[in-house]
Amino acid sequence: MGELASDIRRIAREMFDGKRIDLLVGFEKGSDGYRSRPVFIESAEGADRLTWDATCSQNLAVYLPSLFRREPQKKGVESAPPRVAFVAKACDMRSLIALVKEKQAMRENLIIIGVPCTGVIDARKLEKVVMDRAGGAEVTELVDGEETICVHTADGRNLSLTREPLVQDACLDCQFSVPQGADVLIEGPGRPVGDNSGSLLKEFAELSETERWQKFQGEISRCIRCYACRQACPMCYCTECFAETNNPAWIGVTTELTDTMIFHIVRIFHQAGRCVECDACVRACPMGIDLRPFTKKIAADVRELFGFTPGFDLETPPPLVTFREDDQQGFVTEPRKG
Amino acid sequence: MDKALLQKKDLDALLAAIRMRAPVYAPARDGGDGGTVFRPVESAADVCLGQVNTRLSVKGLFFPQRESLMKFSGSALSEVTLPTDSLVVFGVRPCDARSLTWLDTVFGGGGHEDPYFQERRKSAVVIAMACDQPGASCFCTSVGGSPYGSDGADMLVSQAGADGALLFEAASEKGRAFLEEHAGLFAPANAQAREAREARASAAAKKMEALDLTGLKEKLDAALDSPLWDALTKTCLGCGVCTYLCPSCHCFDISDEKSGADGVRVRSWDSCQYARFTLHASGHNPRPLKKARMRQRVMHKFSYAQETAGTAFCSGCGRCVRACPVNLDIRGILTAFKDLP
Repeated sequence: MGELASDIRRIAREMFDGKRIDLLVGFEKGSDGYRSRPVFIESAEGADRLTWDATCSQNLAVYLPSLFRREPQKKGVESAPPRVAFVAKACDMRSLIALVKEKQAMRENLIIIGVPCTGVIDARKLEKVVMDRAGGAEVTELVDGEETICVHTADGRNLSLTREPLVQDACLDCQFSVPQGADVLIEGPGRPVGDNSGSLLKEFAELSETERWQKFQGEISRCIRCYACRQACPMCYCTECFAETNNPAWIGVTTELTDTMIFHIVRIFHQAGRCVECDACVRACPMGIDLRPFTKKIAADVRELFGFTPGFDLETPPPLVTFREDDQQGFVTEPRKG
Repeated sequence: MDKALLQKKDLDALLAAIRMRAPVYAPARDGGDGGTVFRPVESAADVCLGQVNTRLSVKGLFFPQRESLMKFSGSALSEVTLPTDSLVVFGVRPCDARSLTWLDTVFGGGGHEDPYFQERRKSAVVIAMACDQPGASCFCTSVGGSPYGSDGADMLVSQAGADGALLFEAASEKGRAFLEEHAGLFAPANAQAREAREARASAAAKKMEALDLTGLKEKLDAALDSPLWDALTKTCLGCGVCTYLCPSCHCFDISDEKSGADGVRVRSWDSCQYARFTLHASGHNPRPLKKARMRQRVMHKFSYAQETAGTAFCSGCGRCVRACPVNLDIRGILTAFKDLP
């Protein structure tokens, strides 16, 4: 167990012992060697399940809205909203803040345990490298180091792999690897500030309009409409998604390309000013669909047009819920320019 | 002819010979991350057998995710053309092939013949590829399968030894006819190849830890209201990955796609993990919580299927384990219930 993991366990135990929280959302070891998974801890004894390493990839903020969602209650016997602690990387933390801004939880009911992040391992990159180096073997154990990752495979081999090429793309772009404004900040190294100036977007923008459309269609044509992208996204918390209503049926329910394209276009557009570029959608996709050129374009547009980066101070309202006379409107009047 | 050897260099010739008559579907690269799906291949170079498994199971070739059932124009109905063309699927893992036998029951048993599924199945030859390198998430031996099993397949292919020959074993009449048809490319299987095959089969099975699931159905049946359901499904995101990737899940929805008075009645995959799956027109939802939805998935596979088909509907292919965004491992769920006092 790493130092950060024992710090997290200690803090969790103290919080339960001090009766400051009802629930803690963190990570535990997964069922295969190269994955961790979210876990809900409800007592000090449970804290021993908590872990922390480079495989803690999910954005845990995805659980926040449902924890605070309330069914209609009888007057006078309302149950109190829970007090919840989250173990949070900087991206999880930003999603939590964005959700609080959207009134999905009360900030005072949250305790955010910030953990600096050196970049999480992309399970698919790892699988591919192990495939190339060791045939079909699967990873049974992974030990994270500063510059190398050691993996043990099912057929008994030990591989030492350079860490950086295994880090997921979202982390390579990351500019905020240390959570800002956490209630408890665990000490540890963060990642050097990444370059998010958009080489991916430039590449995409250099394509002709037809090529961009083809690229979009090509990616989306592999969609099986399992909604994993939507379900893994902290900001996709609508209790009723337009893609599934049948009265009215805005779009068809099948994998007809026009329907899947509209689903993705609308989902991604709804992320403007809210998406923290954590790539939860990309990670969750079982088909390996690369949504990044599209999600990152929306985030870059919001930065450029409104000077806004989501998930920081609670005071600034997200740009799409406010109106200013000097708001940019070129994207409406001259859409082809952007 | 029951067993025959093919030199690896002749695989191209075999694929070419098959393609004279029918398209060949096999695991082939899909997307930039090294994943594979079943799609038409032209030569052995397109075939990618190194993967533990394809992203999606083989079921979609027989039970497509979107399928037109009939057409209508006003009140006039018309039939769609049934898919009667032959099809050869190469490189199906034994877990996927075995699942086909359950789909055969669902779409062909009990007097309810589904012509769309049946026609495809009838005209297809399924060539399974034995599995020498099961993945960490594979568990076929825990649910009655085997990495060298041929249930549901017409043929099982395995590596016959270090010389790169492939051993083809017929597992059905269709498989025998296939070997006869292409006899010119094959050599008789020698004793050495058969021995090598046995050794490989037992080595492959030993690479997986088999869970003891004896008595699981009774434990599950007695634990419908167990708090374990809630405890084990708290982190479920409610997406459809486990069911859509599953080779035996077969739930579907039927909808009409209309443009004016004309339209198509379409069948498409649906998932018990979706909150709207059981939503009634009245607004009532008998499975409003994810614990109830996950319970349905597990009970259908490991209890109800035992009653209706005499077997669990899980082949241990491991896709739901591998692709679950939160690593909610069905093996953990099964073990937890099995271990109940």
